[in-house]
Amino acid sequence: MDETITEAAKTQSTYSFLYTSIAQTHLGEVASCIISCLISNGRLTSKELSQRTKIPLKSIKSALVSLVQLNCVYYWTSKDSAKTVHYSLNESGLLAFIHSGDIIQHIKERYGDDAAEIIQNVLINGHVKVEDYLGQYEDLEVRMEKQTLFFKLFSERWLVRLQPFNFSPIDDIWQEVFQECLTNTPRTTTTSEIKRVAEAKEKAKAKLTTLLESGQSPQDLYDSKDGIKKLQPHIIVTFNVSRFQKHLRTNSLVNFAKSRIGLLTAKVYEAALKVVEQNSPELRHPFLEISGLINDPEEEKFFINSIENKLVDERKIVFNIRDVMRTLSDDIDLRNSILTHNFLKPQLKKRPLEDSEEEATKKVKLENDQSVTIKNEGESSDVGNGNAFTDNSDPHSLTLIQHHLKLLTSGTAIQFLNEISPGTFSVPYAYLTKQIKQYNFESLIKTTLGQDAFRILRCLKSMKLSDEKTISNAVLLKEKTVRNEIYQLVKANFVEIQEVPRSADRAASKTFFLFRFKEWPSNKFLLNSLIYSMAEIINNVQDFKADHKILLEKCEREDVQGHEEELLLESELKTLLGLQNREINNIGKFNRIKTLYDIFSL
Amino acid sequence: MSVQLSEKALLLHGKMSESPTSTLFNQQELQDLVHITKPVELLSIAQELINSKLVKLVKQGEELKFQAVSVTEASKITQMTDEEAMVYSYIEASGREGIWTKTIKARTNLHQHVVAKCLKSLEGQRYIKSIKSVKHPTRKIYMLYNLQPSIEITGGPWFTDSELDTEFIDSLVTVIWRFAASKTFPSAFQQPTNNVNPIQATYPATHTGFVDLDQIMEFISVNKITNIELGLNDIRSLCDVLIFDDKLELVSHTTDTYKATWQSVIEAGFGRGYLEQGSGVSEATRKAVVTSFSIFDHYQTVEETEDLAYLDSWTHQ
Repeated sequence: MDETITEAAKTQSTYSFLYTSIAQTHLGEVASCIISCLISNGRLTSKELSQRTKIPLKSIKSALVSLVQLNCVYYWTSKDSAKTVHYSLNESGLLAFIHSGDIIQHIKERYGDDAAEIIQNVLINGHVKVEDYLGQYEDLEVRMEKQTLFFKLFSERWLVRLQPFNFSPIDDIWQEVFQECLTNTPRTTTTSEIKRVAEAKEKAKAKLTTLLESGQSPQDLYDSKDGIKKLQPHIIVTFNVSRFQKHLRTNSLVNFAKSRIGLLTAKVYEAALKVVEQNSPELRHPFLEISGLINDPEEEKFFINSIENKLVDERKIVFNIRDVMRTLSDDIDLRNSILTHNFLKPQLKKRPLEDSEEEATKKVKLENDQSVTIKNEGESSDVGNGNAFTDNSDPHSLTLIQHHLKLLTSGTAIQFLNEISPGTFSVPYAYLTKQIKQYNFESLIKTTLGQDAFRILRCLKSMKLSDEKTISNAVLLKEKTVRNEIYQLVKANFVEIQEVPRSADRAASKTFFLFRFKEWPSNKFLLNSLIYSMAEIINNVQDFKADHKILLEKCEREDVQGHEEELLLESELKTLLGLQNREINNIGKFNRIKTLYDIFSL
Repeated sequence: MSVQLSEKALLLHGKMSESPTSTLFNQQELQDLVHITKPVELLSIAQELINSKLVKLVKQGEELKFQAVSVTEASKITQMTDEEAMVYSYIEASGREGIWTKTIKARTNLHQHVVAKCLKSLEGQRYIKSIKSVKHPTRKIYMLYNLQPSIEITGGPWFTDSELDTEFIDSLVTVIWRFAASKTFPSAFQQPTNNVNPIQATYPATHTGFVDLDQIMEFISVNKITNIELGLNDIRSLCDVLIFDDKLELVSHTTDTYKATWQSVIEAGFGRGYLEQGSGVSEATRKAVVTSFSIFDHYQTVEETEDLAYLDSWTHQ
């Protein structure tokens, strides 16, 4: 790869660095050059691409074909006479690459190996036509099996239909629809221009929504000949990255509940979230991707909330206790996980007549450790029969699940669920996204900058705007410590300084400084740092592999493959093992950072 | 005493001393004490006492008042030089707040050397002492030897020798957290028993038995955790620190009722019994509850030495 392009890719933005690194490892140099060039210049024609990258037009074109196939590049044919084709970056394909391992693993766990195979093939090919894929199986029975799997994956929205407009950038589609609506809205003397544009905008929004939802009706998708519902053979499917992102969101929320309430509650929460996962709001609504459509942060918030409210009204993200009961894994045992009065006074369980006697002996027993065990044995026989307030006989009893759901609604400062009517709950996604980012952010501060910085940051957040002295009084730390930690926080770009001059000449000696924390820029900054680190890890793996290029090439040779132990020296085998472990370590690290990246890109 | 006092003067001083030390008398009250009707007579007696430093004049509002000084105190002052007495009077007037040497210099209009000399001799005789102020650690502040500095000067219970006693605070904070945590998650700190689920055992959402400030206060005083007196406000600021540390949280819809956060229990190494063998959790369950990595599990990670990824590598590229 051209040295200048590498440098440009690395420095222009963190996304660019990550995407080009991913493209380089997965798709090769030409693809990565194209992607870097598209990120830095916006949309380009193939000729321009060839000029800027100094790569022959022919190889550019063939690379573009695969990139389009893999959903990494959009194209747009201009409507003028020249019919020039412009290419621009499509992140979804690259995101699929980043998550690919996790995607396949998840499908495997949830639907089995065969489903994972289908997903893997779809990921490798970008998109496939249903009949082409099924056509490769000659055995009818196998074909039927695959067909059912296809249908299942499709109906749970892991696979989605790909239509021509999916290959075009949403901005261009919007512009086209909007311009059309604008010309169709007549100019009149009674309405102002602003009103006319707003009217056209509303129309265009409705039109765009219809376009995006077109081709998704059951008649278009399914074929129910012979009583078996199956996918129309002619439709083209691709993997739905946003569906996987919803799964990742579920994961992070579950981990969050695990940290705040406990593991079993988190498992109940997971079961509940799985019920509504498929219908949960998209991480990014297409309208939010269109530049200039929703600009105001307030408007954006309102828009996101309106989507969520609509889903609640349509009862799409609403569930009840029985739904949870059905989905909860059998391996989870909820018995005795809620401490009722029985825990506090175990004697209550015994027959009431013997109460007084029981109590007297118990006191003596407690003083002696050995007797305590005897006491427990006595109790164990009672575990089954009597918990007056909670039914502990069934590991998945309704009351137990209800208790856990109540804990999620009002057990902690964080509202994981809303109880909209007795027994029915909804998930406040927008609110939780904010909370989860906040908690993860703080935890990251704790693990990188330490406990004191964590305390100071949380104090600063509660005070909004504050000076060193007030902070050190509130956190009960020495002023010197506070100053050092704030310096670290400021240096890491998480805390802002506000200067308050006290004299007209703004003399530094008289000025004093206040500090504050701003959530949005900090999250954004952190996200960028995470992306950069991910990209760096990928490059690091490439680098140390390049250091041992000769050895690795030797292993690739046909005559060596399969006979490594005979043909390679012991030291070489040792290096190979070291390299392998090092790569695994780094991939693990990459994935750990990715879990954070998933949260901050919510 | 160097000057012999008249009988009447002694009588007056004696009667004045019978009242509490800081009582102020006006002219009429003094006349009543020794049954004198003429102010002129009182004047001579009062002058006599003032000369021998047994009475101080204090101006309260527009009125001039008299205050008795004990004989020992008076002898102290009479033994001092005039400058020393002047400096001493200012230091005395400052009470428990103490006075800064610069202020003394400004008020007395004495040369710095003189003030320094006076202070040195007074300190040598143990009439005054120098103290450190938390607010102004660089200032040299003096107060009477027998007085306790006020809270503003010492900084309250968190300061020992005008240094923030972080060790003391940390230990108190730990004790409070442990107390609150045991009230929030009683089973996490015990050996597993049969009537408790080893993975998680939480009070229901309706539970109300969490700790409040009074209980914490009582816990600290009953167990004699510290001999320093703490007020409810002090306990509250400790709880605030614990909230900043994300170890406690306020129970919603209450004031000053706290519960420990589950994360803090986990990080302290409790509540993880189910991960060990023989905790009564089946292998299948254990597998089912193990989830993907999250930053909240950071206590489980092992520090690495090779190929480190730094959070700030983007800013430092």
